[in-house]
Amino acid sequence: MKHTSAVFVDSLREALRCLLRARLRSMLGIVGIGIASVIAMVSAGEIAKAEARRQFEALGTDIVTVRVAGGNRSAKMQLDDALALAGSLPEISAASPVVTGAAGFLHAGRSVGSGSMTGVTEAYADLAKLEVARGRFLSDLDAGRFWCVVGAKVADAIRKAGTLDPLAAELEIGGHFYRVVGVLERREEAYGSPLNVRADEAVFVPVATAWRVTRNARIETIIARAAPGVHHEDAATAVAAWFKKRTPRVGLKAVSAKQLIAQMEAQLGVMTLLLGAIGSISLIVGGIGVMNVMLISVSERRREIGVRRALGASRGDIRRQFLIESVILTLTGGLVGLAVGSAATWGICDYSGWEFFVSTLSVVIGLGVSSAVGVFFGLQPAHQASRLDPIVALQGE
Amino acid sequence: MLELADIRKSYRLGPVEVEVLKGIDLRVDAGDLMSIMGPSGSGKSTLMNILGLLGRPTSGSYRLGGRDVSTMSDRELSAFRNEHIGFVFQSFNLLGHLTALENVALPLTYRGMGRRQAGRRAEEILEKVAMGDRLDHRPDQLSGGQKQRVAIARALAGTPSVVLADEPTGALDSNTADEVMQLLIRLNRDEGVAVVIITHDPVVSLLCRRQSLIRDGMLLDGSAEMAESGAP
Repeated sequence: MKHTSAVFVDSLREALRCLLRARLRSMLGIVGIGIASVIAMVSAGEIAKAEARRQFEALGTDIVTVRVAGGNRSAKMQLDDALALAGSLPEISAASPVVTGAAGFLHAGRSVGSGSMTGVTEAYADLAKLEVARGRFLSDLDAGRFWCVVGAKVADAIRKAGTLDPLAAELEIGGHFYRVVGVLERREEAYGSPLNVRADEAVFVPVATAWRVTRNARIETIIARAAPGVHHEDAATAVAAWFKKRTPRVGLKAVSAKQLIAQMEAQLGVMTLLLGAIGSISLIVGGIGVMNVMLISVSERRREIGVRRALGASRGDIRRQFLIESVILTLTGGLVGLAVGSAATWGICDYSGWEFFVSTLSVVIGLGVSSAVGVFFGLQPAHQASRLDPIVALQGE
Repeated sequence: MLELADIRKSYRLGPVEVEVLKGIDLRVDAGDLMSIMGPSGSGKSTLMNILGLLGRPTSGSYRLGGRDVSTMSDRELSAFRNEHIGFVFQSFNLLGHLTALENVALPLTYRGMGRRQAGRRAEEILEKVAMGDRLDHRPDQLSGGQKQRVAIARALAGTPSVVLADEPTGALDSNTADEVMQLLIRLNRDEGVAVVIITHDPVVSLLCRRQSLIRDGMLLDGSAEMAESGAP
């Protein structure tokens, strides 16, 4: 073993010297791209999963979302039907329809947000785990009033627009004026939240008001919470069955939070596939490049191989030396890729509002894959080097 | 210590088989200093390769250090080469990216010696060839004579049974050549290592205690002839 380790250290030094040669850089770049894709793929997937889990846990495992299908073929969901769900099903402890209203919030003639107002009931605050910072949330007794509760970023914008206290400020939305009765705690919510509404940028109004003032108002979502002790899947099934009976002509889908997360992961799957394809192709191209570099290196260093053989290197020693060199090459590419891939992942996270972390799995996979590429594509050159006849090698230039 | 008996080597060149060595008998004992002279194409390189365990003979027996080497595997042969043979080449064959010290330590690393120990041994042997002040120089920072000194140190580093020197002065001017020869002779005397010099230069050959001639694949051992004719 001592023998092997001495040769190993020697080979390591050799490889590092060779690395300094310029023509290897392009190959390293390609391997780097490959590893970067793999890293980005794995970490983005990991992060998205963690994010989904986090949101899932924040909302509770017992959330059921009813997605009402649009289009001409199915009938429109009426507000009464949506509101009736809350008290009619033992499997459901609370429910709120979500009505999307006019877009664009104005305060004192200035824009304080570009989103759409959201019509909800009192129950929504608990369903979405909203915390009120000041004032109060909407009450079911507010039905039809032009009152609203604003998210933290909208409140910031109101302050910026010149009103020191957002509470009791007036917002103009779609030609109507709403008085602010509550400001929500900051949430820093990510895109892709199972609720589809980012509370920080939202303005919540009583659902009846939204329903009345919005032209062609539609209920696209109903959020519900399963009753204690009821499994979320069962609750989803019960909700679907209840609506099928009450509004047979309305197309809808009741899904649990867990199913929502599965859908989100499926969407991520497309990105994963794309990155995986880029990664595989560039790893193959890079690997072939590394193989060529190593083959050139073997033929350029024939004399060195001959000398080493004359000094007592066995075929195995020579093979090991060149294998280590090619692994060092790809591993260096892998390290570059790790950095680039992590940076790319950071970018994805920043864009999506996800919490960034470097996943251990991605590091292990990245370095593992790059070593494997080095071994795989280094095998042939290393074998060729080890099979050189030392006499011929010593004559070679 | 080293004994060749009826060594033959033939190559196939297309349809014809060319016999390069036609039954070589040779014995080298510890402490020998001998030359093998011959014109190019006489088979002296082939003989050198066989002696150095780099090539295998077509037939005949080769015993080195009390063992028959003809049946050894590549791994055994490499280890045996590392242990018993030290090469000195005409063109030095130092590895250009290694320092003098690293070049000399290289055969010791293949033996499994630790880095520090190999370094100490390399330094010691470089002192012996008067290159102790050039340990960290790379070959391109050394003159031809200095390079050959480093190469000789490398050949001796592993305390081999025999140093095989293939035209060791072929790339040097006559003054430097003389220095290198004196160094080889001194090391042979002081270290007791057998030295076999392959050359086509009669001056070099004459400096050796024992001279032999290779021609057309046959070895004429001067000392043997002298012994037969009763000369001293």
